[in-house]
Amino acid sequence: MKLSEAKLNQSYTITKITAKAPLSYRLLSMGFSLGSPITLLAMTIAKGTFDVRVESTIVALRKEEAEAILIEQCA
Amino acid sequence: MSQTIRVALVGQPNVGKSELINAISGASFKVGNFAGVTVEKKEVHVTRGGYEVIITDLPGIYSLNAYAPDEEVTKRFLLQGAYDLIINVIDSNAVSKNLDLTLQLLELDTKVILCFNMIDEVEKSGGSIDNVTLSKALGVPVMLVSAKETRGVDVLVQKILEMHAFGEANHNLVYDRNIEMALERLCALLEKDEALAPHKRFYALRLLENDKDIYRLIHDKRIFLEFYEVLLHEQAKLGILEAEENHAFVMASARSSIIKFLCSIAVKQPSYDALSRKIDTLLIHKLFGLPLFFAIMWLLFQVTFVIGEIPMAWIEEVVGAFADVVKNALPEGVINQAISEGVIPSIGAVIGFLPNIIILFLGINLLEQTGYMARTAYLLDGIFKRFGLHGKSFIPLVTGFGCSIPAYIATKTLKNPKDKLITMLVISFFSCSARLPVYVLFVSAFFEPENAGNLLFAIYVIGAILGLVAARILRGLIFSGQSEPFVMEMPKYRLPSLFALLKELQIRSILFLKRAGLFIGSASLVIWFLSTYPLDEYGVSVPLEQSYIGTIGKAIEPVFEPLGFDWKMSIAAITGLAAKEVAVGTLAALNSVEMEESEPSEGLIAVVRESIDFKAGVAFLILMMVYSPCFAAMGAFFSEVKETKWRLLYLLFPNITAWVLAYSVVHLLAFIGY
Ligand SMILES: Nc1nc2c(ncn2[C@@H]2O[C@H](COP(=O)(O)OP(=O)(O)OP(=O)(O)O)[C@@H](O)[C@H]2O)c(=O)[nH]1
Ligand SMILES: [Mg+2]
Repeated sequence: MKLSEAKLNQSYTITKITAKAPLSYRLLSMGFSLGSPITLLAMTIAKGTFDVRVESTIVALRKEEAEAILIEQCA
Repeated sequence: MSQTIRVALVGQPNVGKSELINAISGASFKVGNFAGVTVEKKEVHVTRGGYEVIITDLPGIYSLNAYAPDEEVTKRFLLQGAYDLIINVIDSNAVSKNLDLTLQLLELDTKVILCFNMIDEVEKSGGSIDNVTLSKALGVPVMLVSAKETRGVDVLVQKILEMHAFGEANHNLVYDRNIEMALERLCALLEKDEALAPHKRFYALRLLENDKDIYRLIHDKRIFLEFYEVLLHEQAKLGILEAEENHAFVMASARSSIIKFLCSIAVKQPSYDALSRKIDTLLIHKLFGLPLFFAIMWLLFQVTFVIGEIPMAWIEEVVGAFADVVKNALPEGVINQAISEGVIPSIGAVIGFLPNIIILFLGINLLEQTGYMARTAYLLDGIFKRFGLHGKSFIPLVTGFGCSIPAYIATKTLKNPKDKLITMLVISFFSCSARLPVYVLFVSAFFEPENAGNLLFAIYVIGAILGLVAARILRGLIFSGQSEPFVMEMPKYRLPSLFALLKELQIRSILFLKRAGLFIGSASLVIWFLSTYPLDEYGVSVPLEQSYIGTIGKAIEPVFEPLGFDWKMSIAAITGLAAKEVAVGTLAALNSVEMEESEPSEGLIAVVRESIDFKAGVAFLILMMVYSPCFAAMGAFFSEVKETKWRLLYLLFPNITAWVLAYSVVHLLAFIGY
């Protein structure tokens, strides 16, 4: 599923990044790579901006970007 | 003559590069707890062990696949190669993320020292980093440093000298077999070109990732056609072409497996910072986050006004006494009068506002240093987006509350030129601290002290709203188009040191005093002469109204008459274009006679209250809020934006808007019976 559909404070792993270059480069170098653990920590009330933790980095991104990151729930 | 060593300071954003350079050299480069503080390269010179060491501080860069304009600066610098040695600064709290850049840098064929900064924080949280093991594994020196506690800094400098004298540009990086074989074949081709041969492995690696800057280097070489065919072939074999747009994935995952290994043998740290998490549950709370932000800003303006007002009377008394001393010390004559009646009262009137300005700056500084700034960008992103601004624009705009000039420069972190231009065009709506004296003066003159802090807050909020509306209009009319992606790192919360705050206080005071001295000093001299001359046939000054300045004032009065300004206010509105504080200085100079007659603690405030009509006062406030910023800021804008049409827009748009707004409000006030 998409990162934008994640539940708060659950552990997921990244399965695919569909963002195009150069955004994909930026995401990669912030730690969004395949298999990285990711947790949704907060989102704004309009569900427009998300606050996530990948590895040990905390990153804010918009819904559009969160939709370009596919995740699955950890076993 | 001493030998020089040129050192490039490279690392991801917010890892403490600027703090490190300050720790090494005693410089005071701007430091802040969010990504993108440094946006231009800057150097310092220090002399150590008989060498002149030139260290260049560069904007943070996430990877050599540069994304934003400030990153381009760093990349260009790295590719031009005008340095002897790289210090790669790493945030010890986020080793695996940082090492991705490190592995790319190691291929640059330069001597590299890895500097694990912020080691104090890792140790405090119970983690550790084994630099000996890392150094063996990578084949380059690895230092543990805390720039904040200046720990390990001297050893680092020693290491620079040692590396320069004896070190080699080697490393032990080996990728998996398939990549190494591909590299071997590509290198064999690049070897044939003399210019490319020395850095062939670096170029080959970058080209596997389709680095456009490197393409530009080789695409007109003779070997290109042959090389390109092989490159495509090798990329296909590595699965890079299947990865569609994302050439980066294959190489990135190759690096990431090396990094996982390195971390497993040498790095122990908690998976995340629990304290920051706790603070965040409150500060970026879904419901309370935004109200809390506004409450904090409101508090800041209350404090700015209430505490800032206390020393005002003392400062005025000191200035008054000083003017008397000067008056008695200098020989009688024109110069004495010009200084004691023109310059000193004007500068004095403005210096009285120094405490307000310093408190405001300290507040903004706290936002920057604690890490809250990035959170507010997250909180406001939704609102900003609706007005057609990028969430990241928030940082330059808040910087604009301090001063527009660094704010213009800070827009370099915005990737899209349209976003950048819109942000630059609306920055001046976010009132800079130089406007604060005008606000405090007029608010104190016309409103009860209990409301003053609220009003001050309201002025800034209204300014910000006007800015957002202007952005919306600009976006709709001129710059329509897709909005840019927003991804922004949230730093760990950090407490700034008292020392750093005091330093900020000192820097700001000196800057303010310099500005006051230069702008207001010279402006008030001119105004004094214009208001004292011509002399009548008996050698006595004519009445103010008939002096040169009175004549000029009367000439421009028609422009401002619809707003209810008298000729003195008209002059102040014009001189305020040079710098906003000058408007206050001008009012002081033109009213110096009246000021002397009033209570010393009341000074200019009382004069303004008595001589200016309420409606005109409000109109003046609005004009000051909206119209063009100071000459220095205009210069900064012009040096960033070259197209004539945007420059024209920048010159006309705020001034016309200001006049129209002021005019409307005057009539509205008249209509409701003021
Ligand atoms: N605890 C601790 N904090 C540090 C250390 N070095 C830097 N900091 C803090 O880390 C933050 C970032 O420092 P900067 O020097 O601005 O970082 P930078 O790498 O220059 O950042 P950019 O210019 O944005 O690329 C600031 O809040 C510093 O006070 C350190 O050794 N220990
Ligand atoms: Mg910096």
